[in-house]
Amino acid sequence: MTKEQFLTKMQDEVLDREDEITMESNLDEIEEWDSLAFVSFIAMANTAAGKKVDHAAVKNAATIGELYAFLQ
Amino acid sequence: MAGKAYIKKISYILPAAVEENTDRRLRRKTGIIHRHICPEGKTAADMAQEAAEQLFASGADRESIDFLLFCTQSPDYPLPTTACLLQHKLRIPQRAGALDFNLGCSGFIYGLGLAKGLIETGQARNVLLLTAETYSKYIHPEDHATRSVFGDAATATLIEAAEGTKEGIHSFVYGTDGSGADQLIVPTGGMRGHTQNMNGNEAVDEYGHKKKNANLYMNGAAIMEFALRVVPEAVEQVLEKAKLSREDIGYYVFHQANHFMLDYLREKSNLTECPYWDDVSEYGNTVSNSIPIALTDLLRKEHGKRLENVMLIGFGVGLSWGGCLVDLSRTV
Repeated sequence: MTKEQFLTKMQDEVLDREDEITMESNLDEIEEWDSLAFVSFIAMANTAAGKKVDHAAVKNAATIGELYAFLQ
Repeated sequence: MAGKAYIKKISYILPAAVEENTDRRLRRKTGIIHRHICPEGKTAADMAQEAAEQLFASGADRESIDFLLFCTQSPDYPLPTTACLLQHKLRIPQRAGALDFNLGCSGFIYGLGLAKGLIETGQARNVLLLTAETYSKYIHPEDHATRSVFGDAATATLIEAAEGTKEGIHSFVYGTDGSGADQLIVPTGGMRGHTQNMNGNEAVDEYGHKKKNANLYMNGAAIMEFALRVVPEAVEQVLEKAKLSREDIGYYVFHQANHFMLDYLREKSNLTECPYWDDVSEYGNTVSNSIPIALTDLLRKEHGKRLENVMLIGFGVGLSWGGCLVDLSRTV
């Protein structure tokens, strides 16, 4: 998955948010990064990237870019 | 001759009280707008009774019932068996067998499997399968994430013996993984947590959702991963057992958990081009009721369409899953 594809999926599918995000966006400042988005991210990583990611590590991530790293 | 088991009739009821999910993003993601809530003083058994009476009012004969199966995780008492109370309340003949079984979102599939076993071994001819659930009573009022997903409901299904050799309910697969039991649990109320204070141990998670000992706990991410692991595999196994391909299936009806989970399961199961039921808007996740509710709505919507092979997959608390094919062409 390219960075562009990832950002689109994060914005439209996982976060369901109108305002644009970047790899540098802080998760603390994204209101939509809640329990629902967390479950969505786990599911997106599984279906789109075939990855079973560490839940605790995802919860400790600080930026959108750090979430992208889990899919590599 | 024992005959083959068929679903003859399905009926459902929803409590009158409704809670609304007002947050637009929550609605879009979960697909859930309204959820029905069982009132104080009323139980799952009361709702199951109503669903069964509705089935009898539509032409099912209570005198013909020779087995009653009741699927719930919200029984009236630890003992006696709630199905026995329902036999009496529903004026089902005393010659009928009756039992409860404790399963959640996979329960309807297991109920169909039990009914088929009873019918096709000649032990019963008309099985009344009831499902009823009131998870709202288990959820902490300030656990907004869990509360916004679950709704209460009850269903009644008549499974009867039909002459002939064509299968009406078949190609079952089952699965169990008790290692995930703590991912979806009410930890008190049974003997294991008997000495714990039901109202004690109030905890708040990192998102502000509250829970006490007696409340439902759900690890949504773990349940999502579980479903993504077992459901696509179960689809393949059912198809293989039935010697059918994806295109032979008239409809795919999975447990209606929520819209985004159904979407991911559809993608992972390679069903994006197949007829697939996804409708939780007016019910939410109704646990063991979701599949029979969906089948009733499907029969209304697709009346007369090709429904000889409808695939059902249930999955959830246990962790437990199951799948099968049903022929709805004789269901009225």
